[in-house]
Amino acid sequence: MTYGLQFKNSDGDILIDSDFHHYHFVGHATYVEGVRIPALTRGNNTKHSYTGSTGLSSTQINGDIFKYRISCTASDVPPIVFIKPSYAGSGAPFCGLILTQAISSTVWEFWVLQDHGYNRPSLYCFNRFDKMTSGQSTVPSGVNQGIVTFNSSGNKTYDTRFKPLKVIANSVTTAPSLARDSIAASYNPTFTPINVNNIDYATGGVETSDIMFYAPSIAHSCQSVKGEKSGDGFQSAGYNSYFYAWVRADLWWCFYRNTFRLYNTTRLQSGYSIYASGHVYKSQEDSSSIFNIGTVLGAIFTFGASLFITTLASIAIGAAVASAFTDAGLVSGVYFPYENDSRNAGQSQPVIFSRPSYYGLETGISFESINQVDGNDPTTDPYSGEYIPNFVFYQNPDVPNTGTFLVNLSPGVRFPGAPPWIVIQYNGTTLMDNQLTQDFRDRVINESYIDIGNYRVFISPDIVLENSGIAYYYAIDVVPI
Amino acid sequence: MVCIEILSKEDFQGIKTKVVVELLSDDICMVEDKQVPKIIYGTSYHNYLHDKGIEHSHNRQKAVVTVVVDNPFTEEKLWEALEESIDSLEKEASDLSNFQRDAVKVHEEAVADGEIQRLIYEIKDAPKEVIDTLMQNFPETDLSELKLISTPVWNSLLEKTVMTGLLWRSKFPDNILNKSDVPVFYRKYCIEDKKYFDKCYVPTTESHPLIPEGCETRFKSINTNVQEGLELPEFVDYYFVGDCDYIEQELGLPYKRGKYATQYGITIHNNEIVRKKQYCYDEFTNLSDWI
Repeated sequence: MTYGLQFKNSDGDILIDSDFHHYHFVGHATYVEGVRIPALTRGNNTKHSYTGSTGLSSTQINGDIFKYRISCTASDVPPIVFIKPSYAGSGAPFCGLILTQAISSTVWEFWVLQDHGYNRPSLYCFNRFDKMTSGQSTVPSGVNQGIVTFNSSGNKTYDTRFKPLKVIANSVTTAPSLARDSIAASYNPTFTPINVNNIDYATGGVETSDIMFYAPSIAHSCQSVKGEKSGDGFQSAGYNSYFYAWVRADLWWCFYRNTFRLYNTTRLQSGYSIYASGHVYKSQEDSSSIFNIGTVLGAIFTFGASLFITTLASIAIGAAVASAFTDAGLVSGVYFPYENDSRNAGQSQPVIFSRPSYYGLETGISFESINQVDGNDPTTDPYSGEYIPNFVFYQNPDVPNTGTFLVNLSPGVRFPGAPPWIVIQYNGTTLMDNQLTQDFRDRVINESYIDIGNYRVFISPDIVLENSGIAYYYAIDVVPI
Repeated sequence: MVCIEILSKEDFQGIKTKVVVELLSDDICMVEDKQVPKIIYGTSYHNYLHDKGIEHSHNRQKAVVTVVVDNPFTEEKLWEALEESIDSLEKEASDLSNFQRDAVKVHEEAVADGEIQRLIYEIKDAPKEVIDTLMQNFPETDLSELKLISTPVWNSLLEKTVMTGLLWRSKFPDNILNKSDVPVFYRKYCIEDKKYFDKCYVPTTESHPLIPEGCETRFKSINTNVQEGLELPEFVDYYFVGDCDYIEQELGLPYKRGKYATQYGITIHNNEIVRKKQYCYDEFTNLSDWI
């Protein structure tokens, strides 16, 4: 460093260095959808084989996969994403960031696996200035003082007018060797993960409700149990009475991903959540006529010795899930990569803690639909009396106590040639009641934001949730200001 | 009792030992749907069951589990880790329902002359009113002798309401000739008379001019053990299989098929067909493969 600016603490540690890109808060990732890996079950039964237990066991409950997205300007450097769990404690859900992927040059998507619970976590995203969108890097109005650093290329690397990532604690964790040390033989096997590794950290007494963590999930585990029932005997069937021998082999498995939960103010737990689970079974039967007793008896004895429990996987799994993945939006597969083992479980990984209150709690208003952002009249019959808005903001139903937030066009827009109108209400208070201006539309189109009352509404036209052909549905994020 | 075999044992991540174990239960056996002590292959009793063609089965259960125990590995740790699996296997292996197919509710649907329907149930699954009707009219009946029972239906030839019970093979009466050649033995309960007669199904390939051409005859009936005071006309039944479309056309029957199998029967009286019967099976049942 020939020139530049460094800030150090009293121990000489560098806090700010103008040569390095510092991460600043860019918003809450927008929730897109929740999916689950479908039940992976398949099998057949023969005339005499046991026909029960054809589904998953009662504990093979796949976790929810919540998908979130946020805009940026590059697909080569991902934002850092912190998970703010819905709640903490011994009964809290485990959740983990299992996938970070750029789905376009300007949008990153994050998948969070959560093992139970209706409320989903919030994601707090941080990025470098050179990867922020123009909206994200626009200096908040009225903030005119602070420190800004630039690197030798003239790129901004730190700006106190924004909200830099503040780390309140960090630690290192590993995942348990297995989700369970054993899964007992049963036709309703218990797969509920119980093994955890505790990670202690010190935040100076910050409440768990104000802690979020960064801990990507890199470990996984797969565990299984096999069962087999078999029988032989004589079947009365009139003229065609016969001897028979049958066998049915079953395989249950779960594929776990490493997930975490805030146990208390000083402890994070690293454990597993079920990502995918399956049960396949296969029956075979051999029978022979009553008139060949000697041959059949011999066959029955040898048939029992050729039970195929150990080869079931290769027989049945391949066909287990051909039709299971219909519209889950997930990569199809059986998710049975190995048996009773784990990968990356012993690998140390850092955990970083921060406080969501530094950045504003998510309001719970998570997405909107915008019909025809070009401002053209909706396609409804103007004389039908039916009102179809151009803009609709939906309240996030998973985050309670956020009131209502509604944006739509005034009825006048139904008439050809009438200017589009926008009405925004929050908790019954009208925040905006104006003609939809070119400025507003430009902000939408140019991926900017609009301040409405005490809220900044970020609108990301790159994140198209749905394109119905006549309407485009875009994601937004709302942050108190 | 559960037998255990260690299939593999290996170090796991340097701190534990992973053991793959096979657990095998003892046999659980049934004779004519009743649990019995273990039947040992090759014994005289087992040979007797086979010689008499008595329905029976031997069943067993196996599991392969993987457990991880702390190093150093000891057998005590292994047994402790397997305790739950052993308990579970013993429990499951002692439950007969774990080796039986889901109960088939209707073992046969028979339709006489295209309109009179008769359903046959397993005794334990039969509707209460069916059992009640039988027991009210035949209170001396030992239900354990019956494997199946039918709904009561009107028989136009006998001019009686008849219920049909299938006897377990071990309960076949001794007073019939060539007993070992009779695979099916029905007891016909005539409700109004409160008397029954027995109907043997004798395997045969002989044809009859009244059976549609090209069909394969499988059985003809012989009525026997007619209780005193019960008056029956002379009649014989033939049971056969063949092309369903052709048989329906020849006999003037409506379209009626079972998903699994369809078979046919005719009742001949005074050298005329007086009843025409379609037997339909939607799945494998105790009767579906009997012809």
